[in-house]
Amino acid sequence: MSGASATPLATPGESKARSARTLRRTLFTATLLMVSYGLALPSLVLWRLQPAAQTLEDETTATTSAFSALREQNRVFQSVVSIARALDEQTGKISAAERQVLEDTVRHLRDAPRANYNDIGAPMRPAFADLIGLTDDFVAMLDEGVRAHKLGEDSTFHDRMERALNTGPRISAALEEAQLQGLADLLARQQRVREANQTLLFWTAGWLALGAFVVWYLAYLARQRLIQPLELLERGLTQLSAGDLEARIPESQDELGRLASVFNRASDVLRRRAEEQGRFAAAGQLLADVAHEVNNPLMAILGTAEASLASDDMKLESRADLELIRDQAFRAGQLLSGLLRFVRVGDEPAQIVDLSAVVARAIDLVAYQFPLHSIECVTQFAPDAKPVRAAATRLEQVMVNLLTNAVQAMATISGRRQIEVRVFQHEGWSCVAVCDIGPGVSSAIRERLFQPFSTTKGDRGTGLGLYICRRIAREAGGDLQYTDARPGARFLLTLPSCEPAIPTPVLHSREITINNIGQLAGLNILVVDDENGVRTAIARYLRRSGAIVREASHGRDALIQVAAERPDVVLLDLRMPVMDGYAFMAEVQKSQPWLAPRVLVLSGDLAAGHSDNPPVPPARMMAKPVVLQDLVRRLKEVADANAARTR
Amino acid sequence: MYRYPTPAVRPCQLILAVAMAAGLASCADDIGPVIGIAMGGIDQALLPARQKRFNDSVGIRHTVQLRLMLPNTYAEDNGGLAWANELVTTPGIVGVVGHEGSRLALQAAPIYRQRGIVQIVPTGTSSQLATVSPWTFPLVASDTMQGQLLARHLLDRKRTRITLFVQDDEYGRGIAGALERGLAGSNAVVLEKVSNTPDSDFDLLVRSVLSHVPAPDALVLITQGPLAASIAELSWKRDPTLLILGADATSTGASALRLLAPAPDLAVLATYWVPDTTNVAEQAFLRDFRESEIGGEPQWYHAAMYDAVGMLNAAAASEGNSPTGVRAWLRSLGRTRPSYQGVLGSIDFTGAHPIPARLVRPTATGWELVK
Repeated sequence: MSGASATPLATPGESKARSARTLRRTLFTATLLMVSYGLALPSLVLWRLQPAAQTLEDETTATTSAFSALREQNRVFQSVVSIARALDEQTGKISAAERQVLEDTVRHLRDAPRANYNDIGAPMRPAFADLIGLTDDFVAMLDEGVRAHKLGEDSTFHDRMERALNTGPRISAALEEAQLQGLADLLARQQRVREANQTLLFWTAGWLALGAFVVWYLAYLARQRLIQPLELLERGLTQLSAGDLEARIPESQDELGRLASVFNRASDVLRRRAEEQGRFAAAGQLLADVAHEVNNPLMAILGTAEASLASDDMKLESRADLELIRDQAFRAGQLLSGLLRFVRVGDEPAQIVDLSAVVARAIDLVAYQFPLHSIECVTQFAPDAKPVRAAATRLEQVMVNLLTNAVQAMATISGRRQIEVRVFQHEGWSCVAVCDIGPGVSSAIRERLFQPFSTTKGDRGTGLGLYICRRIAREAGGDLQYTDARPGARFLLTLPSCEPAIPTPVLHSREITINNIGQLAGLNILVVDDENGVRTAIARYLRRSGAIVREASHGRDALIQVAAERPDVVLLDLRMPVMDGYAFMAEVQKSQPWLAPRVLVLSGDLAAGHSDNPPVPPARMMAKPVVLQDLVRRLKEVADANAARTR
Repeated sequence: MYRYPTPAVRPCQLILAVAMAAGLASCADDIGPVIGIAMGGIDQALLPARQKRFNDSVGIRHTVQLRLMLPNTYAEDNGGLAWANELVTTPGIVGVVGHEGSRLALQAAPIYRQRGIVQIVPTGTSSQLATVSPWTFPLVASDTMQGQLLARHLLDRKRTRITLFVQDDEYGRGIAGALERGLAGSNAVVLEKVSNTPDSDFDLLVRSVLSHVPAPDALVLITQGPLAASIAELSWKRDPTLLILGADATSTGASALRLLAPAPDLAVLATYWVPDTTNVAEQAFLRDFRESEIGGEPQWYHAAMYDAVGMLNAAAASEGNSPTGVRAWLRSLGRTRPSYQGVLGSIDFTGAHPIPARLVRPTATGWELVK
């Protein structure tokens, strides 16, 4: 467990005070704001400027047309006035041709294009109406004059001409007024466009200011709702990856807040698991220590029993008892070795292993539970099952896990309890099936059975077992699957088969023969072990094998004895007082290197070595308890190898 | 200088305007709908009694007020614009009946259009009224339709030499133009188009027209009634065989024409109202007319104004002081709502002009429809 102190990044009160709005809603609102903002300005332009521009465009055309009509009307009017005045002032008789000129000009004036009331600006209409009314009167008067002249009524003609000409100045004034009104109308419209333009500028400036505020607010919002939570999350993850399992980040009710909540829960789970693993590691260490301490008496028992059995003058009844003692001690030693191996799984390289042997070792490890729960374990090892390439101890871990699960499942039912373990070959796959007849796995759990922290055991389970098992299987190129056994559960471990690199060792019961007398004849063997019982039993057996045996209780004692007389082989324990086996080997390596290859290590806990200790080749290591006959053979091998080197 | 109503407002002004509009809206609810009458003549006297009866009738949701524009302000009104500007600012205004004649109605139409106020034009006949604004509803047939009707009658009566007396404005020109188009392609020709004003020397004009070679066999009077009566009298004195056709404007001189006509067939008038005493609306109209101080005989334009006010009354009583509602109400006539049954007949606005023009001729007691 990490020793780092907890670093709360926000108080729970702050978390609760956070807005209940979701991030999605915030993003939606921000998008809506931006779209509204983007659309508003064009809309504003359309709303403020377009009507003014449209009015200007529509009515300017009409006004231009009206001005054109006015110009034409004025031109014709002036012409008519000139002709009418000339005829009126003419002293002589007016000819029909002259009258026709006037008549045509009057018609021209009457038919001249006029302004369209629908289109021109409202202010211009009264002036135009006046003009038209006066023009109509003018034309009617001239028309009457022409008609009077046709009827030969010259006095009436002149009367109408004069009356018409008297209307002239009013028409001129009306024309001028119409033009002035037209100009005023244009100026008014220009003013309107100018005002609209100014208003638009005002609104645009205001809008841009509002835009700046919106941008600032969005940035603030993004910082509050996105960047800050992400930074906190990043900081929390950094703390977590640095080993601070108490890192927590503030929770809110949006998506990132929920993510923070998940992070906090994961952090809690990891912390609990770390605490559990710490306890497991401590238990493993304790187990290793105990195993070492137990191995020594076991070795003493085993050695004494074997030494006694090597004696020819033993009664048959006593021999049988000693053999029982020897076998049980050996079995206890094997069990302890397995436990030590299990708790010290390291970065073991993959190698070709016999799957059946691994399964058998795993069964050995958990077999003590079978009688406790009245479980019958049925095994079936197919002879054609091929080896696999994997880390043996990790495979053993998988099998122990599966078997433990099966045992726990069996414990929940009454009646017959049976576990079946079957090793078989299926095409290119080496398979192990572990079946029980327990309650099986519920459908609710089944889908996440192999996910981390998924457990059916409540607080008793870590929820990591099957997840790790499947991961180990998949790292080895295989898989671990679950199927309903109806009743019970069936786990199938499949691994890709490979051809054996070495002949597959055949499991056999250990037959100990005592036919090693004289095998070590003449060999000078130094036995270094602090356990007096172990040392004495081994020395006694070796002497029976013909060796000259000296004894030392620790490394320093051994160095003295080496200095006094060179041994052919040193049988060395590792854990000893005064000077342990590692220090002894270091000293030998340094001062008497010739002796180094002659050291055979025999220890209760070979895996407990430290990285800074000198390495011991596996060929010269043996684990307690050991069958003494094997020990003799190994001693002989070491001695022979060094004898050959000396030669 | 005339200042256009400008939409340029500051935000605070906008808020103030909204608040004022809200206040005004609540006040307007209290005020009730108002109808503006921009006809400007003594004919308005026909309306107050009728309005009181309408508001007193059972089932009226909103009491409707009339805003009568005083005739004595008419002379000062340049083209009716002052009236229009005054009416659109009247609180509760939902519609206007007027203005009198096409020219004034056309001038005022943009002002009402800008404010979304309905304008029912009872007497204007210009074709432009149908397009000047979506909220301007001309009541009677256009000058084009009337001109074609007159041309068709001339051809039916086999008159080939036609002289037109034309009031020189949109009305006169519109009917004259339509008539000429109606005669196009026939053997009938228009000898002269004589412009006239109230100050014209009609004797001179008639003498001139009848001295034309060839002489006309029909006159078409597209001018106001009293002038038309003078022209007809002078013409029939010189040529009692002349067929004289009068456009709808001559109706004010219809009585004189009826009396002056040498023969019933020689006087034919266009009108929008053929009296029908079985019409319930007409009975009410005649009663109101008799009770009013107008005097004389009721004319088609009285009936048109009466119907226009009646329709707006019905719309405003139903929709209150909502110009939008009143517009929709009028648009719905003949569509989702039955046509309005008025003095002039069945009225709706599914077409451009709801009331068609018809021709009548004098009888011993009045006028009869020309079949």
